[in-house]
Amino acid sequence: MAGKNYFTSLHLIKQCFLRHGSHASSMRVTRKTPKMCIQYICNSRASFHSSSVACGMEEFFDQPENWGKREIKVGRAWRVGELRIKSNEDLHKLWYVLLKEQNMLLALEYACKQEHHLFPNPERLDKVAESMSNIETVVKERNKAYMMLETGETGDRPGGKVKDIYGRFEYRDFQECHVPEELNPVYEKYHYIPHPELDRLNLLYSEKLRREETYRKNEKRRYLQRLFQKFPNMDVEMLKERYPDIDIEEIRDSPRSIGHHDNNRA
Amino acid sequence: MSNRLYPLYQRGNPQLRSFLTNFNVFPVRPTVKQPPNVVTFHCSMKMTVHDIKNYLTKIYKLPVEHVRMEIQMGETRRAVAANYIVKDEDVKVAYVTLGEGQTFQFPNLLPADLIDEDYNYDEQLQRLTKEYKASIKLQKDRQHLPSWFGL
Repeated sequence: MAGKNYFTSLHLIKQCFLRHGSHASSMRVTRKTPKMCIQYICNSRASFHSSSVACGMEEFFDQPENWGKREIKVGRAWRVGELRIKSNEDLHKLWYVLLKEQNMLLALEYACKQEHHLFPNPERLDKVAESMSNIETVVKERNKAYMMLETGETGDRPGGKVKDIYGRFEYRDFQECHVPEELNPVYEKYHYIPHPELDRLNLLYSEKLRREETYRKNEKRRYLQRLFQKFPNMDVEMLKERYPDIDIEEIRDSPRSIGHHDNNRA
Repeated sequence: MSNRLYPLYQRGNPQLRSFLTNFNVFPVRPTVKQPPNVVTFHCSMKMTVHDIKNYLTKIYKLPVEHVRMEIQMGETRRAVAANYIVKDEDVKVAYVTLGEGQTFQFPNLLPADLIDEDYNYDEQLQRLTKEYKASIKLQKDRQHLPSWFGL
């Protein structure tokens, strides 16, 4: 691994043989080897990889024939439907193939930035990121299914409404801690200590929030009433699905949704 | 390890393992002259020396002898034609010494003789816009359907 020969194909071939632990470690690498190597790669499971097989620093860079190209054509990202039918092992391998691809692209992007060149086909980075997020959704689905079967819980991070330092309620993800909260002197310092003024303020604040919530609910009711004025024969089941927290039949029969005298049902 | 949340480690428990790491590490051309067996990497901010060593040896099968790390502060500059300042993001840099007999020279990824100066960028931009619009048009009426539907 030295000097100019670092990226020559002969070296790659030797690495490939050595890495796969074949009998060829003592084999002489000659000028005739490339064909054999290609066959070897195609027959082995390594043909699944989209990045190069050679180990070492080469994997951080694209194939030498792509260097300096303005346009490099690639396929689309992996879809969730395609990943769902893969085994866990395959997903694990694919993740690392994509991670290596991402690192290669980041290295190229940085090099282009330093040289004031345009990074060829930047959408490749988006495609890799999309594939990786799709893998994550599939893994999470499987994890959730397994946890539901085994423990009856989703296995997500638990959370809930907690009082912050001023006594307001806020949603927080729960955290594991070495020391229980009651025994932790740092927690004692920063948690909410009941205070009459703050309690009064929080009471008023919660009232304000409740009024806002009621206003938003009534806004929906008024909207539905206006809709019933124009379309008295609307599908009630559909509306019930869309607005589960509102009594649709009550709104339909209310005097406000009758509208014009022509619509009088009495 | 990675940026995900892990269960709290307590002494005696089995070691925490990361199965799908989301850390990124990539080599950059060193700004100052380095010995031939030292490689400069930019890495994710949360990585430690042990993480780098494991990452390179396990994923890339690189023999790592020693790792040194530093955080380089991003440049602070005045925004172009505006009255405020901008700060670039900080980067974590790892200087990795490779194993015995290993050398590395950062390759020329953009060779001058291969670069086509007359390349038409507008054409590429138009093609990409067209493809994107076509893909949106295809999925417009069938957003909740699986990807294999309509084959």
